[in-house]
Amino acid sequence: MSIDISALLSEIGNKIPALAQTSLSGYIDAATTDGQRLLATLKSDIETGTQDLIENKITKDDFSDLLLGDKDLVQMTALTEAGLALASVDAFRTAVLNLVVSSVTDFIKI
Amino acid sequence: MRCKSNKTKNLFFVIKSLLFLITISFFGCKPLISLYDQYAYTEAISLKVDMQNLMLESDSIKYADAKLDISRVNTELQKAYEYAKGRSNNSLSTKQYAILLSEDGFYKSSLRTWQKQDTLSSTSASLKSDKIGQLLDQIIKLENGKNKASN
Repeated sequence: MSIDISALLSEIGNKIPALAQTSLSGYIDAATTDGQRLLATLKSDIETGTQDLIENKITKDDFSDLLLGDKDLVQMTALTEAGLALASVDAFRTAVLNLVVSSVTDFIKI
Repeated sequence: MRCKSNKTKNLFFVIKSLLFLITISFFGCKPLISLYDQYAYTEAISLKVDMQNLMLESDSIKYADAKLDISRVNTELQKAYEYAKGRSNNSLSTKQYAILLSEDGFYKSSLRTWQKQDTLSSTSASLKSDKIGQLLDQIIKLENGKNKASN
C-alpha cells in the first residue's frame, strides 16, 4: 500500500483554518473587549479627577499625576496586547506543528 | 516488487519530512515571546500590593517618615525590572517596568508630589493607589497570558 502524500497535505490544510479560528479569534475578541474597557476607564478617570479638582479634594499636581497615570496605562495596555498577540501566534504555530507531526505519524502507522 | 519499492520510497519521504519538521521546531521556530515565568508573576503581584499600600499611606504618613518604605519598594521595583531585562524575548515586559521606573512617569511623579506636599489628601492617595494597581495589573496580565512550558 502506498502513502498518499497529497491526501495527507490536504487533510492538514483542511484542519488549519479551524485551528486558526480557535487559536487567534479568541485573542481578537479579548483585545477588543480590553480596548473598550480601557476607553471606559480613561473617560471615568478624567471625569472623576476633574470633579475632585473642582471640589479641592485633590491638587493640580495630583490631577497632573493622574493624567500621567492614564498615559502610562495606555502605553502599558498596548504592550500587554502586543505581548498577548505574540503569545497567540506562538501557540498557533505550535498547534500547527503538532497537527503536522500527528498527521504524519498516523500515516506512517497505516 | 516494484510496489514494495514505491512504498519504501514514500515511507522514507515521510520520515524525512517528519525529521525536517522536528528540526524546524527546534531550530527554526524560535518563540516570539518568552514563556510564562512563575517567579516573575509572583513578584509582580507582590510588587502590586507593596506599591498600592505605599500610595495608600501617603495620606497619613509624611514623605520624610516614609522614606524607608519608599526605598524598599523602589529596590523591589528595580529588581523586578532587572529580572525582566535578563530574560530572553522579554522586551515587552521590560518596557512595562521601564515605564514604572521612568522619572517622567506616574509613579515617580506621584512620589515627587508626595514629597512636595508632605502628605496627600485621602482622595488623592486612594486614586493613586488604584492607578498603580491598574498599571501593575497590565504586567501581571501579560505574564499570565504567556504560553506555559509543556513538559
